Amino acid sequence: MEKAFELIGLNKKFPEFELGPINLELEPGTVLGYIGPNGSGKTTTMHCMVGLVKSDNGLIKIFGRENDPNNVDWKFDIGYVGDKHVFYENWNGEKNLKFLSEFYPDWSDKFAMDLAKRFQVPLNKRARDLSSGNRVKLSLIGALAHSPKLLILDEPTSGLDPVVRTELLDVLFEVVESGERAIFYSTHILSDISRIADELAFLDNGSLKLKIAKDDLTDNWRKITFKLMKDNFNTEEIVFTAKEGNDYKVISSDYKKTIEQLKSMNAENILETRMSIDEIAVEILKRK
Amino acid sequence: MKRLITYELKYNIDLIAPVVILPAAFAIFVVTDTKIFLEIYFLQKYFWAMAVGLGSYLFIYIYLAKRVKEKRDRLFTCLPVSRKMNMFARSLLGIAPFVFIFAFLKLLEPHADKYWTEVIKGLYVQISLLFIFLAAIDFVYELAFVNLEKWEKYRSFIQVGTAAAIAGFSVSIIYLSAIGIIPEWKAVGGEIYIALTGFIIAAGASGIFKKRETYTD
Repeated sequence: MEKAFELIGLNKKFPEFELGPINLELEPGTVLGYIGPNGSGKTTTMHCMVGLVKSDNGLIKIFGRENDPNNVDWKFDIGYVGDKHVFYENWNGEKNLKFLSEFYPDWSDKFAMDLAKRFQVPLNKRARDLSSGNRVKLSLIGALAHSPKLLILDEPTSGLDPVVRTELLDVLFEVVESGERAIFYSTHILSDISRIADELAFLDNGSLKLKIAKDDLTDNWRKITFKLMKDNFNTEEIVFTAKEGNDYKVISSDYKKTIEQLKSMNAENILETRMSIDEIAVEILKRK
Repeated sequence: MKRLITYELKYNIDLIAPVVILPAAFAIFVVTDTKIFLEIYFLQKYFWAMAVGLGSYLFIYIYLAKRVKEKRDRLFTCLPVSRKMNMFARSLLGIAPFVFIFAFLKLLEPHADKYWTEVIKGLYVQISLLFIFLAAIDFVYELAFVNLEKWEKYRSFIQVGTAAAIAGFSVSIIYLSAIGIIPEWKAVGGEIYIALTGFIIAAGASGIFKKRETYTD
């Protein structure tokens, strides 16, 4: 089965920043959270994928087809909500959707109208008079109404109030539940993505740090405290160590293995604590 | 491509209408031989040049500025439209007003007497020069996107160079008018050469558009 997308050695250089090389792929029907601080290269990755920015090196494939700007069949398979929401500003939402519908044979007016009703987007208002929340919603309607197989969402909830954010995530959750669509979702708000993501990819300063199934992350990463009569304790799984006398506090990416090792070393008072995705993300992104 | 052009025309009807209305109004004055501002030398000489030439181009300039402000290249790049088609649509929208006014004046010329023929010939030269001017602005704008790294590095140089070139170009036109070369150009159909120069610059800008590094703006 074709991958929803494949990034093979994707690289883009700017005067003060370099993205990649990035190797990343996504299976159809799965949700990948793309996590990283501001300026880490999330938006650039997505810009390269949709053809807004030309990459310097590497290959981008959408459902097995290269993202060739002159052979654009691959664009029918994607719905993109970018970092900026561009419309015909003097036209209302309905006219803007009508414009988009002209380009997609699979566009469903009914679905678009249902979403607009659900999101309570005032389609009779001119785009330039819409609030930032409604602009995001209108973009999302435009991205969903042609039923793309891959949704590329660049921080869609950024700058939205909690109520609108929840509404938007509810709709995405329904889209995911149908099980047919792949979603590539960039964010730095982890609570948003932790609800719907199957996998997480961590990006920092243009480099991909880790790609991992969300469940592996939440199941295996633990904070462990213990007492050990030894000057130093370190293994491959330990990503953070703090020591005060003989009292240790470590973060392990495989707590079961670490605890076994500690037991074999006669460590005392071993206590493991679950970590939230936010806490884990901070540790991953702190690792150099 | 057809859909892009149709929607752009629909959306910008308020800016495109004057490009049709102003030459049409001019045609009425030519056909009915209604001369105005005869007692004010400056207006008598330059009124139609300002109304049809500068007037029309002002609206074309506003259209282009609005297109940039609303990030139309970004919107169109995200659609399932090939880069080539996007480029053709963009070029046609830029060139069409010029071709329209030029062709309109050519059709009007046989109906004009000696006085109006002189005015029309002046208009040919003027709109051709304005076309070069707009094409040059577009060319520099496109250059900025084709290699961002170089653009960042040479931004000041390019901006100052462009301003100097435009100023030099304007001074040259005034000078050429003053020494009577432009009227000579009119006599030998020089406007065709000026228009062709404009087309070459516009074609260059379109070629660069296709090679841009970014379409985010």
